[in-house]
Amino acid sequence: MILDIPNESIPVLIAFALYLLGVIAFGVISHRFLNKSNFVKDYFVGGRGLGAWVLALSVAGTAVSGGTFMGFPSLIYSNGWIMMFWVAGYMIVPITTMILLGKRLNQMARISGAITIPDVFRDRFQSPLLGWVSTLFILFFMMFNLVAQFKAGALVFQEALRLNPPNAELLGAEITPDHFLLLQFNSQGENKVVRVPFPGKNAKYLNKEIDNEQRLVRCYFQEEKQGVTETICKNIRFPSAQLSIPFLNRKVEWGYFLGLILFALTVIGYTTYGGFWAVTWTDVFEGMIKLIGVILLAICAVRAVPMNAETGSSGLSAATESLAQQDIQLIYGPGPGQFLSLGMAISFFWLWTLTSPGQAGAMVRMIAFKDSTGLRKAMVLVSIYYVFIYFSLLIIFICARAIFPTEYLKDVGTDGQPDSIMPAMARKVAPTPFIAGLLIASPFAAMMSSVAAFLLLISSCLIRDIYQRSINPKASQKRLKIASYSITFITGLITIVIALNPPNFLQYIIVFTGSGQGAAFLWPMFFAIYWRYSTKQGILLGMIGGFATLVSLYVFGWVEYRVHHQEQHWLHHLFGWIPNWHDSRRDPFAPLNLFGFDPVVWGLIVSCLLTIIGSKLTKVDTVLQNRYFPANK
Amino acid sequence: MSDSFYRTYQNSLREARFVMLLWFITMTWTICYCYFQGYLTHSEFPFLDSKENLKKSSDSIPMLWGFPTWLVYGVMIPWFLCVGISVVYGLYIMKDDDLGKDPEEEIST
Repeated sequence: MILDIPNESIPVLIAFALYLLGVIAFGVISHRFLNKSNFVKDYFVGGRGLGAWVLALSVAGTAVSGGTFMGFPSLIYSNGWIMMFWVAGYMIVPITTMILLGKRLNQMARISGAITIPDVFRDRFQSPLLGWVSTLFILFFMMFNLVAQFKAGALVFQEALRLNPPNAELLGAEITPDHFLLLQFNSQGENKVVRVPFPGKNAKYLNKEIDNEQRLVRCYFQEEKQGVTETICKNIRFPSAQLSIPFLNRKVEWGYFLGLILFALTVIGYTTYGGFWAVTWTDVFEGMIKLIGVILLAICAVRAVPMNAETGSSGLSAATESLAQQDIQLIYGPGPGQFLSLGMAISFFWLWTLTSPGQAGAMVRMIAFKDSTGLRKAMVLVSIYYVFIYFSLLIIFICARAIFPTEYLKDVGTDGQPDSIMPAMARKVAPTPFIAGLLIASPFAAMMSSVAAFLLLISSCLIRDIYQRSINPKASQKRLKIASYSITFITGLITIVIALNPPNFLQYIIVFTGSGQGAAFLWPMFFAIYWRYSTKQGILLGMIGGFATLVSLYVFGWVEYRVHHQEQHWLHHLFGWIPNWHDSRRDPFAPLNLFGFDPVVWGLIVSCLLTIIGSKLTKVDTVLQNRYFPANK
Repeated sequence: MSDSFYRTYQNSLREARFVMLLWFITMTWTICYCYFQGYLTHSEFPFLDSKENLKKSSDSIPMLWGFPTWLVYGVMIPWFLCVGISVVYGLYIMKDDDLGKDPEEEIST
């Protein structure tokens, strides 16, 4: 049987199904609110009618994404308390995101009737070129991010489903020189190899034991730590059932495939049918699921930490003491493996605080709110919301490290990889499997709200900025409606196909797209709305400069990774003089951190300088200046 | 150009300046405090790696409610202060301004 669902996954799936039904209901209800007289404005910015609560949870929903609920927990679990410093910038993110640009951007959009970010740039400077460039940049970053979020959503569902693998026959085991154990199976008539990393550099492979009932192989290793010999057992499941995708000529796991289809069709369905209102209302629903989920999980996690017999402490104190016993680097900076150097600590503070207001998804919400009273109240709500979300996540996964000291560590882990720690914690500490299902649904909710916002952004770029403003300005409301539904749906389908063959490096892609938008849009938008002497040439230069700086540092990192071990390669002679060129990178998508700073810092600096210099060197259009800026009083 | 348009622009600009000032203060405090108080080694400033720093061991971790104290003063208290500032600024100081109307609304009115 291909779909062998374990009994303990059934309550989890019921919780998931209830959640998905709730989301679909919001999508259907929102459709009734679409205004027929100005379809595009209503479909893409909700007729500029967002109130405080919807605005707050919608801004938070777009920001708290798959990365927050999958990548961030695995980083806390692996690196300990340093992650609180890593995420510290979020203390001021609600203020920078909503106050820095919010009120003035909304005012500017109303002057010209702009409903997208490229609209604002184009109208402010009467420059179709600016509209086109910003559209292309948004499409570029959004497509990257959309695929990454689809993949993350499918992985969460795969983890929730945990299909039993089919029966298999173990053919043999082999050890490679780079410390991997290769297990060769015959599963469903095919030969498959599973690579198992050794739990440590000095570990020795002992033997294996096949458990046909549990459908796993227990591999035993021996390692000497501080003079004591330990035996470590790794449980390796039989190879998962796979499905062939004929036109892609590749195979995907059944759990992943089902997760992808369910995730994608739900989110594409409600976004296409309900437009902006469906996205924002489901954001509210998903926002509440996330909040309740993490608070509940934090309470359960603190109670589940074993008491420290020596000191008598319990809860979070016992967890911190346990981390200190495991490795003192889990308590203090810079963290294990020099995780957060000073340069990177500054970079991440810049990254969270300055790129958040520059995200296209956040800026769209800033042009969609109803009045400044709503903005003020929303900022307060988001500030309080972030405290609960981030502190709860920190507490949960610090406790997770105390509860599972090594079980989910990268390579060393006996039960899985760090990315599985969120579902593992939910299953471990939740009082019932149904509540575990609700808790596992919270990362699913996080990804859905981000994906819905990105999907609508892509389709708004294609419909409003390309079709309506450049190809067919006289298109009727009916035609625009059909085009909007079709484009949103087709964009989603294309993303499903790409996500069937997804790229790796999820966390880096999400950071890349977030920092890329910030570097390209923050300062150009800031100067466009506040500085009366800004010009279209300056804005264009700043936008392209920020984008090019960031992308080129990622390209340099990628190129160096490819030739890192070839010391005599001509690329080393050509670029070896660049600071930090020779740094070792953990991942092919890791960028070149010039002078120890993340590319976002350089992108923001270059973008700011070029916008100012470009504007100073060119002539201001006084007609537009008078339209958008009041005379000095 | 109406007075309300001018007022909205001026208030937005003033609020943006306040945000940048607050951003600078929080960044300076958090980065400096955490780096000097919470790091075991300072590869950028090796002279800071005094005996005091290297004394940090697993035997006694200074904690408050289970959080290491360097994070309480470096991140947690500033974070709560920022929330307080958001509440006071958002509810009592920030101005309610007229944001104007879309062109089609102006025509209909």
